Amino acid sequence: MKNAISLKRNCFDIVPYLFIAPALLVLASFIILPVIMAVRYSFYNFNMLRPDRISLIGVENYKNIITDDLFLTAIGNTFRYAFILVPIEVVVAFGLALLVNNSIRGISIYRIAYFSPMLTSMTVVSILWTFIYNPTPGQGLLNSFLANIGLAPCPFLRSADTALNSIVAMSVWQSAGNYMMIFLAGLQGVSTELYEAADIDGAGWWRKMRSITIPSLHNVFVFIVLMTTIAAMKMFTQSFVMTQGGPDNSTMTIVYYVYQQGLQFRNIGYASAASVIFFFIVLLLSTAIKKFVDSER
Amino acid sequence: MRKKSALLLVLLLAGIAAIFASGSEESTESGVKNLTVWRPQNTAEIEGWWSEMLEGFNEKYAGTYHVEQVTFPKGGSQGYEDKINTAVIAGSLPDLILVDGPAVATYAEAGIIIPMDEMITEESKADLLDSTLKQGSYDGKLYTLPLWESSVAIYYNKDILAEAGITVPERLEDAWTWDEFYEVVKALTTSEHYGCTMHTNSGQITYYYSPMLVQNGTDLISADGSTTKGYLDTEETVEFLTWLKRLYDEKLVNIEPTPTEFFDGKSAMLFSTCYQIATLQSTYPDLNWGVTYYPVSNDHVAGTPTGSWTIGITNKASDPEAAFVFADYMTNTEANMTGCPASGYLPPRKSSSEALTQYQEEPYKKFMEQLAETGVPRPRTPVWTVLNPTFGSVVTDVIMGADPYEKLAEAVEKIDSDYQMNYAD
Repeated sequence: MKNAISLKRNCFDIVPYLFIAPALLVLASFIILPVIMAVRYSFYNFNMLRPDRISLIGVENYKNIITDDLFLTAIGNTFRYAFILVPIEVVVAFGLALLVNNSIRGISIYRIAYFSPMLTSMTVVSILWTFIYNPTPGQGLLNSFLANIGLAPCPFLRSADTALNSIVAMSVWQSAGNYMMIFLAGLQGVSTELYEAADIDGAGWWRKMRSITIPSLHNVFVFIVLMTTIAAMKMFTQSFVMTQGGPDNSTMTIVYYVYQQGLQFRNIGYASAASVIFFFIVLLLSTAIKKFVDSER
Repeated sequence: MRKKSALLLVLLLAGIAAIFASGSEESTESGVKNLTVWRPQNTAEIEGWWSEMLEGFNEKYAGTYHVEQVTFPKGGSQGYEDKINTAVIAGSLPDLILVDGPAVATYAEAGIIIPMDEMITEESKADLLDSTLKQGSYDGKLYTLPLWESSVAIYYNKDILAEAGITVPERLEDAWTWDEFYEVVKALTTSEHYGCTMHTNSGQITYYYSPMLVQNGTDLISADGSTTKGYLDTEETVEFLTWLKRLYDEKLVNIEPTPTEFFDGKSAMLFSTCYQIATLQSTYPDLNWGVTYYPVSNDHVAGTPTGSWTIGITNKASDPEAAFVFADYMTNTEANMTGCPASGYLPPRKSSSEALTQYQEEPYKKFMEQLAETGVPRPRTPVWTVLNPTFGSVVTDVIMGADPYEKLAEAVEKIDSDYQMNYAD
């Protein structure tokens, strides 16, 4: 007991710091330090192969980036991807959650089935879907299907008009199950008394949905919209594996742009500046969503 | 309590120290010089050859040198390059690295690999084929030695061609022109099979097609490797792109070829490297096939792809002389004698081309002829890392319908501004 009191008094005691040390160490070395370094490098001309020739160039990188058409294209593509993906993903995930929320025998099989794509890595999923999207009928699963029902083949990933949408469709398939699980947890938390009361009042399915289910899940919706938006803004794997940013830069996202400049072209300074801009875009977007949601209340 | 927490802290620090201390040690214990070589993983045959060669080297130089290899997955070649990039920043490059031919200039310009001119004998240097000597040199100095060489030609299905009544050129000077090639591919396309299988994997496009720009009187980049303006964005390049696009537009070539469509008879011809010979002989003994030359321009100017992996000594090599002994061991005539057949690629030296008699006969003969007579190495420019993927996506984008002038102008802007940012003085 005496010991405990002395601990409380001595604010320089080492024990509490020791407890947070492992987490802090990992956080510092893999998140905080790289962020500081990225901000610093964004003001330098720094080619990865010539660390000896690093030179301070002020805001030159930022100037070049915001006048680079490709970066603007990347921003446009990223937003387009997010704006198409987020509503579809939320609606599909919510719909699936409503379906599997029924207490029918064997429903857990469906829950697992819808969730299972999430257990596969995005890289593997992307490679598999490259085969599904193969533009040649007889080779690609989807195009063989289209040919069988008498429709013209679709180039999917091979055309600038369809590539991004094809990636959206695959991404929804891959991750909707995950968000479905979160919706499901939310649905099962809604008090049954509310539904019973509504039944007595003679409310129909739609009325219950509008006045009980959706309002009860408000926080879940906010959480999922935020998560899917942030995930959509970070889209990289699909473009990297399936299209390498093409065709005609139609799947060039901000993160792919950063990757290409930084790792492929080795311009670390330039890529750092692009990722700093990206950070502020995501920050602004999440703040805006948060503000919008708060004002609704 | 205090004691316990102090003990915890000590343990924690010891653990961290243990993590960071597990780096390499450069031991010269009992006078043995340790060397490390980095390389990308390759086919089972090439892996086997490396293991054997290393064993042989360590045995031969037991007590003097000992070499260890570290292999990395290729990952579309970028995975291996990433390792080298990070090692440069961390200052942890090994003694030797494998360098893909066109990357020699980038590494040489950055001072990551060092010249070998003072270590190599005149005799050995003179023995290198022209194309490999050019590929390994930058700014007049020799930086890397080739493990083997490569070339691209047209494989054809003899049965399908006989049925269509098409004969192939048997002499280099009779090689099909672009137009003739187009007509042949068109004649060979039926509902059963494509006319030809060609590469649209953007990482390989520059290798496969850039000699066609040279044939047509232009190039990817100026000879000094500093600007693509006036080279890449010319009518000659557009002509090439239009020619290639037509093959896809008319569905004579599969836009997403399967790896085996030629072997399965789903395609009459295959535009590929000498590496396919080994596969054809071992896996498809029943297929009746032959090889003919890479097409020439309509004005009959020839030019064919060359280049492959080379070995270089890094600026971090503790003993460059020792590193050279190993580099030489892996690339001399004797090494070629086992390495080239194992890899399925071509001998990079005059002596080994003569000694390996199978390369003077069909089907390798045509590849060797091209290598000696018409080989065009890819441009030696430090901006290669930008040029290669950029040209690759220009080609794929144009095939899919993008405007060639627009795409080429964009590419020139991208490549030249990178050169200005990093290499212009």
